[in-house]
Amino acid sequence: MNNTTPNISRRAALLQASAAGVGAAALLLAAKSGQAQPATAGTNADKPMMAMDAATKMSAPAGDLDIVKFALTMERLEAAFYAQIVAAHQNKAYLTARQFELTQQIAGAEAAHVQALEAVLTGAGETVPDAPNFQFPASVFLSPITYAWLGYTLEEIGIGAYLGAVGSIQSDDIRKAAASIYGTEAQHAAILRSFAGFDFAPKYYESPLTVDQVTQLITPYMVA
Amino acid sequence: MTESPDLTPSTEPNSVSPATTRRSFLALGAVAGAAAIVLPALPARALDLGLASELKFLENVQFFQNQFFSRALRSGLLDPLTPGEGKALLTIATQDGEQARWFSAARSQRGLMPSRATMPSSMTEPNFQMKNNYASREKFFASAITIKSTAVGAFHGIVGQGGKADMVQAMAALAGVQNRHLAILKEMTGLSPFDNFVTPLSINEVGNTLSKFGFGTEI
Repeated sequence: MNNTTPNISRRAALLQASAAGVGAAALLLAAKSGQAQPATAGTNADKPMMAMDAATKMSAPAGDLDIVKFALTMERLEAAFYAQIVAAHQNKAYLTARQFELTQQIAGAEAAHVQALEAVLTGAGETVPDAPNFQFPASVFLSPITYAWLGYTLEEIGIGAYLGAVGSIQSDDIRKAAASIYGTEAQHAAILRSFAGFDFAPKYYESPLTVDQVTQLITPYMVA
Repeated sequence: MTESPDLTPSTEPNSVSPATTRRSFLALGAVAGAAAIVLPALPARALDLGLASELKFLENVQFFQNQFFSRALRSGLLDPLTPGEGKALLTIATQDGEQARWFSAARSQRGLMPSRATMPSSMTEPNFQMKNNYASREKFFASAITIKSTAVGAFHGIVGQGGKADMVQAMAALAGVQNRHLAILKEMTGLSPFDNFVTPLSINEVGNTLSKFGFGTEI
């Protein structure tokens, strides 16, 4: 159930990159989104990512690009997880219809985040890192509860990583983009927590994670 | 199995308090307790950056949301709510109130307003005149989603302004919870709970949208 080619040294480098990276990946994606659009509501579910072109052409500080790379790793982890869940359900249905429907939506969003982050790096003249391999417990492909638990856990790690990094992002475009993606991660976390039987919002604020904490939390899912 | 929250209407005119009844207190004890212990710090320079008016505005938005959801629970028009729906709306109302009081506490610590610690809420919190938001269950949820989406945009707008790192982080920490609320409200109505991206809104955009529901009528 793993994906892509392992690249341990690249993986190690990514894991040691800037802390807030996870959130940053989301940030970059958001930067490309329709932030420049006049809006009557705070969300933008169906509008195209109008700012994407601008984001992919922007010049970002080197530290911001490190964050983007780290964020790309996190987004790739999440994208791989949900893609494998979708494939597992298609092989042997074990999710409810609603769970599967929403999992497909999350998988699509995470894949779009990966593409957007890669485009930002390419636009900045950076080499896109090779994708690492990921591994997940077999139980997540058999149990809806276990799937939801790991799903919201990964989302919470991403949320914490974003909060840990957001203050150090120098580019306004990247920060806005990151915030946009971060918002969707919080939405994912709420629904997956409810699938697992937990409160969708356990407290009235989110908590940041350090780089070391994020690295420690996602290492078990990286193939050495 | 957790105990269902007690949704008995309170005699309090405005907010749903976690301590309204013992049962609701127990249902929300963990949330309230955590909030009391770990209050995100408002950066000292936040007010130096000219954000004082924005912070006051967000405080009022959160009081408005707190009252919007609190009154819905007391209106009786939403019956029959499932236990899960009731608990979700109570959580949203409570956390919106906690966020509003975080702004109040932070501003008090900066000496911009008298301490509210010893004052009753009726003396310190705005009282909004809601505009026909509870005519039906459908009307309520449609209004709730628009209001919550607008609040999400308001927080993201402040985050997008940048500034001191801890200020940005604090606003983002609150914005994340608003996104959780929005997702669960959409899920309760059968809509897709997810947005591909979240759009930041200006204060003017937020004020204009929320005024349709009674924001700006506070006394």
